[in-house]
Amino acid sequence: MDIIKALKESGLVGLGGAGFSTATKWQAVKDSCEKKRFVVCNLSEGEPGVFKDEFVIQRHLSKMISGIEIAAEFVNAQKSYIFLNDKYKYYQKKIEKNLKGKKIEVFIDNGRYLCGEETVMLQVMEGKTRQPRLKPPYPTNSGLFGYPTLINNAETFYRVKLIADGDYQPKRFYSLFGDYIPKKVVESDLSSTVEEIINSEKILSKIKFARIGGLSGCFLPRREFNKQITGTGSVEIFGKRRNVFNALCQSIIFLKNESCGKCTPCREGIYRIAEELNNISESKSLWDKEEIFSKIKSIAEAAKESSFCPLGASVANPVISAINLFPEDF
Amino acid sequence: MTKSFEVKLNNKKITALYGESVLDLAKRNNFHIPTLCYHSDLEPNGSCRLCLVEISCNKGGFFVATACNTTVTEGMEIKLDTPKVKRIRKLNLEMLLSDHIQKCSDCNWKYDCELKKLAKEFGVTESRFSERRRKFKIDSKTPSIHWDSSKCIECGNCISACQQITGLDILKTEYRGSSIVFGPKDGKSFADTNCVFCGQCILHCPAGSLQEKTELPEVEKLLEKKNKKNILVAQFAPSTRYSIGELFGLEPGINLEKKLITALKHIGFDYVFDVNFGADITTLEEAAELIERLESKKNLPMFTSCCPAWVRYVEIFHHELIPNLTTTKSPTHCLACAVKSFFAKKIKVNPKRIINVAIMPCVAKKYEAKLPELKESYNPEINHSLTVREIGRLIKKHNLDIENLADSDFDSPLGNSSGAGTIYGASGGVMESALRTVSSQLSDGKINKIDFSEVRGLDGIKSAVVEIDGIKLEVAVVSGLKNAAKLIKDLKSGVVRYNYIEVMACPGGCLGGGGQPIPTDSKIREKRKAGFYTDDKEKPIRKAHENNDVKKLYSALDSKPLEGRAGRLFHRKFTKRRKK
Repeated sequence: MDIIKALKESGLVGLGGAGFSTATKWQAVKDSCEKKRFVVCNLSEGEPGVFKDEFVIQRHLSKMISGIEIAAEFVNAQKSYIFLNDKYKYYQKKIEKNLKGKKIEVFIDNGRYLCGEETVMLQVMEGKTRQPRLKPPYPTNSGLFGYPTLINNAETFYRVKLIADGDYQPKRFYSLFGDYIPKKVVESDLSSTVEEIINSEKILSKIKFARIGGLSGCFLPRREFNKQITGTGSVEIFGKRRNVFNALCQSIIFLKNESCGKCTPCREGIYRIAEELNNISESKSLWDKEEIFSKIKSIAEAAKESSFCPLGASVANPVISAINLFPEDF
Repeated sequence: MTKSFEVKLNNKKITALYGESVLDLAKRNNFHIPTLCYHSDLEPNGSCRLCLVEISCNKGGFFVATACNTTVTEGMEIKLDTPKVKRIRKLNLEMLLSDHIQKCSDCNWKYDCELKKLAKEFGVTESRFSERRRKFKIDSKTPSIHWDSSKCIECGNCISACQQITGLDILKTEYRGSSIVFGPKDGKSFADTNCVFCGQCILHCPAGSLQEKTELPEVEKLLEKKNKKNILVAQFAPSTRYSIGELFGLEPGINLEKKLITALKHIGFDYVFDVNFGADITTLEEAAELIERLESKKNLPMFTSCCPAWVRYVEIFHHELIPNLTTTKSPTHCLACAVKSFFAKKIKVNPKRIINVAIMPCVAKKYEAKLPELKESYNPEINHSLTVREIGRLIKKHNLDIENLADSDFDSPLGNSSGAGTIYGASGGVMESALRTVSSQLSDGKINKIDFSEVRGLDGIKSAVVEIDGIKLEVAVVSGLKNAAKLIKDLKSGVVRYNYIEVMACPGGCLGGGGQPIPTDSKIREKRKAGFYTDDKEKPIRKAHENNDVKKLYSALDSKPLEGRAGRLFHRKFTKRRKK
């Protein structure tokens, strides 16, 4: 079957968060000049609030592997890899059992959030410094060891197989967890809203805010739950007694620990935001608070606009949304 | 494929070249974009995020990007200095300043600090953030390098320089995020690594975190002349005279030797001799050694050994090549030995009273001076080795306006040099000097060729074939230690074959050395180089073996090159060093 035509018609985009057209990416690798190509399935899932790829390993492993094989055949790949976060080491045996006789190998790394960024993942696979590379050139042109490399998320490969089998529906997996809810993966339409995913008036009535997209994502107040969920599809809900300030600190501490340290606005900026958040909790007057808010916001702007990679840029998400929507929580 | 196309910069249409960066484009058209971590010698790291511009591609929206590593594309619109860009880069600089503890008083950048210049340009008067670098490491364990991580702004240039220029992997990052440390592997000292002390990391550090290990306090103390018995002798390298002016706002390549001699005498040196004279000695000894090896066909190819970083590299990584190194000492040490033997006798002074201070474009010379094998003739031969930067600071401390000082000449009898001695500081200079003498001696004086222009120039690897009276001499000249590694590999696999090879660890030779003024880039190296060859042409004597003062020295020593007293004074041994 003409897989590329099917991919185009389905409108499938990458489900790792960036949402780039899968058909375009596949074609770019196929059209590249080098004879040697690679396929990598990015299963680093370093964002703590996202667990849908683990779900794919648990329930849809063989379809995911088929998706990888379809990709490898289409781009004529030398070899394929599954980049597995070592927090999922438990599944390594199961995965490797399913890889018998195939030209696919598991590469385990001690994860860390940045490996979700494809060039950092390549650096790690090549044994180099865990810092992002300049794009362009994109991995489709110059990826693993400099060769054209097709990198897709685990769920994306699963959906590819569904498309190939004619079973595809425009849905995706959402990671839902938090107060009043057991941790679960919800499969729903691509255009689902937060309300639709939670799907329970009783629970919705107890919620104050949600964090969409994990620790690098935005805060959303209850009244905006009719918005569509984008990015990695993570929804964390917080009850009425919870405080956005504490959740924001959690986000910032995470990003601070995961920053690679390469560029100024992320390395210095996140450090200073963390410092200022400390100052806020100690400040008494509203005037002081306003001054600190404005400092934090300008650092967040610098990080968003001038960081080297999306991690630094993402710091603006929790910071700006928290300050703008919940200033009373500080 | 069009080689050039049109883009818009600040709403003006200008021509862009295929493959150039926004920064290249701006520079070509005389637009200023401030940079900090960018250095034309290196691949752009893109870490400081100060060279910001706003660009739009194909009529899309404008977004912020860094100029140093964004390639210009057709249909691009570029805007410089927009309010957004100004706001963000000012904040980035403010954060960098609080990441850097200001220790300006003895910093190499004291008079020319990039950080301070940018602060002025962006209007940053003070940082609103606290200093976060208190837990800093200082590593001063090696003779050549002083590393102070409290000043580091994490640009990554040191790692790039070590990898891309020297071809070694001495510097790495330790930890992550705001705790990241750029320094020697495992966060230890440079003394625990295979560092060869070429100093290219120092030359490319924009924040003064890496500097040479200074010997100024000891030299200043000596110059105070508390001990009336000391006789202070200064000697400076071929390269020093063409770059010292840069520290005083002058163009590179201007020969300031006569002013420098006056300055040195003024601050307290009793005599000033010329390392170019030492270079003539080195040429004579090395030429004799090459001829001997060509005849015996042993230990060929012969490699030069006046570059201490290159020698250390061989002693660590290529024990098998140690017999191929020439045993001739470097020009500084040949001169130093001549001072403590010939000159000491002439002025009837015990050599123990003589203090030799060398002023070099090099930081590895500090390490060389302390080697036991270079303390065999005299302990020590060179008492202190200063970099060009250090002498610049000392001269400024004495408030001397070097440009307007009177002219002085070198002291006799170790001050006159040939053109061959003059060109040692440029890559290919040692080779050309040797060839001038070797070609004359091998042909019994029939060949009088002076110019061997095939070995000149700033390319990393050069080669030539020289015909001398039926003998074919295949020679190579390498600058940049990364290129030396490649040459050795090709030599071993038989891809190339040479009889005699000059190796300098620093790009362009000593003129691009780790002790030279900062900035040093390819344009500046080219200008410095021009000075050497201009002066060589105007010298009355252009070959080392025709230098009458050198002949007098040998006659006083009552020996010929390689033999007797000369053999002991001007030759050295090597040590096998353990690879760490």
